Amino acid sequence: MRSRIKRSIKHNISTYLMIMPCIILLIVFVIYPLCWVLRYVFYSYDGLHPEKFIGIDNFIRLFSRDRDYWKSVYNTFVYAFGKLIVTVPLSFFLAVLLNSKIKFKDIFRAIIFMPTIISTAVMSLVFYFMFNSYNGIVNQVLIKYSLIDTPINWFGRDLAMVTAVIVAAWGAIGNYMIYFLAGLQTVPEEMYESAKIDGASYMQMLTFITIPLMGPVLQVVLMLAIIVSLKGFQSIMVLTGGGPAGATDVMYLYVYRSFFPSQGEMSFAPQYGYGSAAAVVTALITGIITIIYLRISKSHFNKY
Amino acid sequence: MVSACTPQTAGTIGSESESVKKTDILLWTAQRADIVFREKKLAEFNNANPDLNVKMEAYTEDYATTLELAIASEQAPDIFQVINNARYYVDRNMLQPIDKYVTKDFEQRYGSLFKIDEVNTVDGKLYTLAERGITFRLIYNKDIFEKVGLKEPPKTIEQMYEYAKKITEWGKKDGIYGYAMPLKTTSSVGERIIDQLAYRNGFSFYDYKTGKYDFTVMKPIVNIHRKMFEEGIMFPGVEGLTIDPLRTQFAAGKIGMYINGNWEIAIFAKDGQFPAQCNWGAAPLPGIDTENPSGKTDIKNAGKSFGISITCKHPDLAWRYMDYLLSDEYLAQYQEEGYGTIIVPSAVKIAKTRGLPGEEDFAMKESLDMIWPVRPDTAGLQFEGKNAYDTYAAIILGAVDVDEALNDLTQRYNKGLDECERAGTVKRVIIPGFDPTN
Repeated sequence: MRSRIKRSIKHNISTYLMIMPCIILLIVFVIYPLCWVLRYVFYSYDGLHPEKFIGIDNFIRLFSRDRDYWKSVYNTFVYAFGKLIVTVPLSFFLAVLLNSKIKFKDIFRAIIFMPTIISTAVMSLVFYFMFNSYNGIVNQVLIKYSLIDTPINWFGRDLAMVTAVIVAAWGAIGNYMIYFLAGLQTVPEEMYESAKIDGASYMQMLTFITIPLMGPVLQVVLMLAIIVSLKGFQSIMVLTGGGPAGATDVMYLYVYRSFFPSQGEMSFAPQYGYGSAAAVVTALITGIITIIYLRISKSHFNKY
Repeated sequence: MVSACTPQTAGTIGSESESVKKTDILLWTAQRADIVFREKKLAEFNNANPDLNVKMEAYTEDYATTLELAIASEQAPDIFQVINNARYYVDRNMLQPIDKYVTKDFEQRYGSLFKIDEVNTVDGKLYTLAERGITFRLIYNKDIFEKVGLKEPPKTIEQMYEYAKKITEWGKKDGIYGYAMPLKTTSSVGERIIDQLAYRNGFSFYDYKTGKYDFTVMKPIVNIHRKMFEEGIMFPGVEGLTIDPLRTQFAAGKIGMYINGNWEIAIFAKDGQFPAQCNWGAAPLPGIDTENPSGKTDIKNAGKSFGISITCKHPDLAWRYMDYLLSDEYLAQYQEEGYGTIIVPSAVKIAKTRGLPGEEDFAMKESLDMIWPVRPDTAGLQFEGKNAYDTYAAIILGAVDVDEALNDLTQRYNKGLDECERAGTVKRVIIPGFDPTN
């Protein structure tokens, strides 16, 4: 037995060596921090004084007293839902359009995909300048074409979330479009040909052939979109910082601030224990929603 | 990273081929704005001190975290810029005392700014010394005031509201508004505007006499701002405004008034970041129900400059450079070249002014400016929920009820202080005879 194991190791030594860097990185940057977080959920710790075991107090505080956290959960759902209803149909529409025989489609594909590879922080900063109400180009264009009389306050309490969704959708459409394009290219051409012979219109082919056959791709795209939207906070951090008055505060931004609470030159004490508890609950919320979605979508998409 | 305090053998000095051992001293600064000046002075120092090789590195992004990591991993600089109160660094074992190097001369030069408890002195030991200071004033556009018929800047917050209203009514059609604040950065609004207005009126949300928080005293200040926001008097989009876009709009003549520190002198200068296209001035912060408030605004960043890190192996040599950094000549030249306002009395005496707009208005005055004692919430206080500055912003934007929010803050901060005091993580500051009006 032992010699068989030895032989196996000897035989696969190069494989083990090749995956070793990944394993080490996984342990250092994923497993260790995860264990660290799971331990600190039961502690009060500010990074300076010795940590103090407080049992489940962090969870009691989170579930019974912290209205701001639950507001951020609500905001996350609004943000994710808004992003989904804009991104998924639009990226599907663009994929269908760019899968047809139009001129310069490769250039269009590249342009639409480009936001995916631009830094989120840079992109959000550019949008911050574009949308600001006093001299942003968005308001200037709307005023120039007489669509509005006075500048719209894009970062006000009423519209800040809409602005955040627009920016997020702009950054995500290209990515999902590529997934849809890949899916569209797997639909056999013969199906369209026979449909055409039967006299089917373009809309009928889209409704009865393309969309049903895109089921598995749509399932994956929706799952990715849900997870990414629930986890997203980078663009909001740059765009609004979670404000005004918490109107765009989302779950992961809330968790981030528990670990890094200082603003500008003002130092606030970090709450590593409480932040860890919030992070675990947030991960559970994200996980549960994803599982529910997968269950529902599995039964739905399996029809096709 | 350059390893600090490493003796090296340098080339020959002078005509004799005598080899001189050079010692590397590494200095970290958190500020890039004055790097040209500091580099120039550093080169002069290195030329005059052949046994030392002082190097400087600037870390403007996340300086505090970088510094803490460097000290923890024993890669710290020998000297570093102190941006927080000394208590913060002493608690984290990052600084070493400098008492044995500081001569009597320093005590005479610095006067009352020599030792400030918790700010640069902890348990009687001195860790850093004063250098520059930020004074706070109400900045106003003189051209707009003249056109609207306002003869002088407001002396009370009620006047501030009236003047802002007048300006907005007059200039709204041209995109000119009476008042602005950078509400995207809630901490700036909190500590530079709301808190400073309270200080100017002789109070703070932390009662130093009893050692307890009471945020209800802030009501008149947050309310007047809330009123200006609600009535559309404030510059549109203040919710998403940070200080730089605000400055550009003021420089372009679109804002009547705002409150900030003396950074603006250099920023609005002809060769500054945003040269002002208007005549502007700065006035003492207004009073509440009085034109002559008896309090004084807090001088920010005062009392601290550079310190010697706990890991420095040649503190005596590091001090030689700090001594040079804090000399009257160095400090006076720093101010004369427009890099900041120095507050060391002996250097202030010899420094010439540049004659820039706002320079005189922002000058530190005993009747207007003081250094307020450290509060527990700036020394690591842990509490539940939103901090005071996020709450002020929520009140101003009308997202929460003012009384409910201020009472809630009072209750949460006091509970946090009680718990931290019990756990021994934060000290309750009590100064029985504290009177900021004297």
